[in-house]
Amino acid sequence: MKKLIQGMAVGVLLLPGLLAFAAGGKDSVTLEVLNPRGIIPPPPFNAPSERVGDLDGKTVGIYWIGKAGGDNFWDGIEALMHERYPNTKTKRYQGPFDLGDERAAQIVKEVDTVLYGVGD
Amino acid sequence: MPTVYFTTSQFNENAHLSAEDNGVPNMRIVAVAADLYYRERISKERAAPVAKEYFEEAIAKLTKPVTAEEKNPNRKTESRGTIKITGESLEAALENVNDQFLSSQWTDGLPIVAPTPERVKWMLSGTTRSPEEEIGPVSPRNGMATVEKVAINAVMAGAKPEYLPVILAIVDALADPVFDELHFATSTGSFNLVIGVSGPIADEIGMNSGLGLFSFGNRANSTIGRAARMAMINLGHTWPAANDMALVGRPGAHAFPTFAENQAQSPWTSYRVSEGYAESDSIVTISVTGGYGQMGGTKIYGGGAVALVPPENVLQSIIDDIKSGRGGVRETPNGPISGFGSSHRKFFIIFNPEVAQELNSRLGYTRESLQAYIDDQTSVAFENLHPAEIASVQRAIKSGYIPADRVEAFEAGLKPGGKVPGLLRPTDAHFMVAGGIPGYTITMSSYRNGIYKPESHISKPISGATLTQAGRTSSQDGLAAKH
Repeated sequence: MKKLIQGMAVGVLLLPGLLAFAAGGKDSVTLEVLNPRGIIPPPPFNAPSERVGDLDGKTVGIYWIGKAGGDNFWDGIEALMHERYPNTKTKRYQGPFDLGDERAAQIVKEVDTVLYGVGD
Repeated sequence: MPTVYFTTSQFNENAHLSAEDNGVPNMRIVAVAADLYYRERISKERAAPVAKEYFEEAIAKLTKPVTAEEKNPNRKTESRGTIKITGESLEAALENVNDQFLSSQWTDGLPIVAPTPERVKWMLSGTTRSPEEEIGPVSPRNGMATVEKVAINAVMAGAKPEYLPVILAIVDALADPVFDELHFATSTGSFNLVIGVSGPIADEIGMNSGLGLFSFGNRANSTIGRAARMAMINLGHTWPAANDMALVGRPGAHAFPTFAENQAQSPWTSYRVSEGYAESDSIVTISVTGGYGQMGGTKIYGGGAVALVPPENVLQSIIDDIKSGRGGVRETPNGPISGFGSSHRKFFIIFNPEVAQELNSRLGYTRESLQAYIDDQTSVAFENLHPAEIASVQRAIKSGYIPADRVEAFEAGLKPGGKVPGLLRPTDAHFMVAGGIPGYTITMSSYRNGIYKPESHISKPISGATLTQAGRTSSQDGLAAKH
């Protein structure tokens, strides 16, 4: 018992966050610690935009950030689009990760829906 | 605009986190299998079957009506402020703290000091700043940095209260809206952060500015760098393969390299004075660097203790490396800018004392004249520019990439007899003196402009210290911080 009391004293000195140090047994020591995470302020919520329903007569924008080899993948998507939806047009765009407000506004005017690829 | 976002499976979690952080948590995403995409993208023929495999999913996500569930924000509840962790003994409880923090992605994989309320209070005794002070959000997930949260992370990193004002200044810089911590924290490249301290607080808290400046064994250098890493983990909410996508990791995996200016052996005015601060001030400078080779990475010059390399050769090698940046291509919202005049780099040059002393005493360079010499020598004569480079510089001016106050210098270079600057600004060759005698000169470089925000190199004053004579106040207190 004397040893246990000494242990308690050392524990309390070393670790002030010690809440409990009961005499043996399972989970006899409880430590209170502070959460290190920065709280993330919730951003305004936006639901996905309503879909186009079907692609007939529509224009599909394909935005790609230009990383090597991606064009080969998008060429395949574009070819399938023309094959399966002959009345659907495609329009290709290339630019940085973040296309910027001006480019986004331009794309919104030019197409009905967008496939946006970053490749990583 | 109805949009479907394409990524690869390796980046799927990252894409979902980004969508959540940008207010579209239910964004429709197609995740192409990474082991297929990266291998098969090499040609149209090989990529076509991969495209076919994901085509129907893309069509469905373009056309299938948005569900009620997708319109529901489904907000997550905030985590608790304090946590109780138990164990059969003190040692077991401490082990459980480490296990639970690691499984929650709250630490770096090395053991931490448990951030008990008392320990955090002790840490906070190092500053006059209020624990509730909001410093700002830290990318990538925009967790709010408060003085208390920084102190909690500093405790975990093993720091002492007298280091806290330095760590807080680092977080001041990380959270500055102009500093691009998002790119270095998340890039697939191994971009890294280096931290320099200029000012009398460095000596007071025992920082190493001499031989082995980036080595282990110094508690201040080690734990300040680790606290900054902890801040990125817990305030930025970064995690490998979730949103820190460095393919081979970063050199600052557990602690960002941290050093102090060796003012005692420097022949020049201090870095802080060159940045517009008072000699009595103490400042931190954080700088993005290319790690493991990206953007030139970290390079070493000089002979050290082994070879005889004159300072002139060290300087010429640095100039040659800066000039080697010709030919980069930078995507801008106005299209790609290629050739000279694009993707400008900035350099954080750490001159070792004997090279700095020789440059000053034998070759006559002051800090200012050396900066001007580097700027002149890294500029390229109009007659030596390729036509594509001239067009690129013109495009860079037109697009606004060249800052308004530098347009005149770049336009002057586009005439016979002129020289186009290799650095966006002469001051983009930043330098401090550090290391011992003998030593090596080091350059660390990265994009001059951040990818997502304007700056990749920024300084902040240290103030509010209670346990050191230095860092109590700053000449910049109450003024807008420099960057």
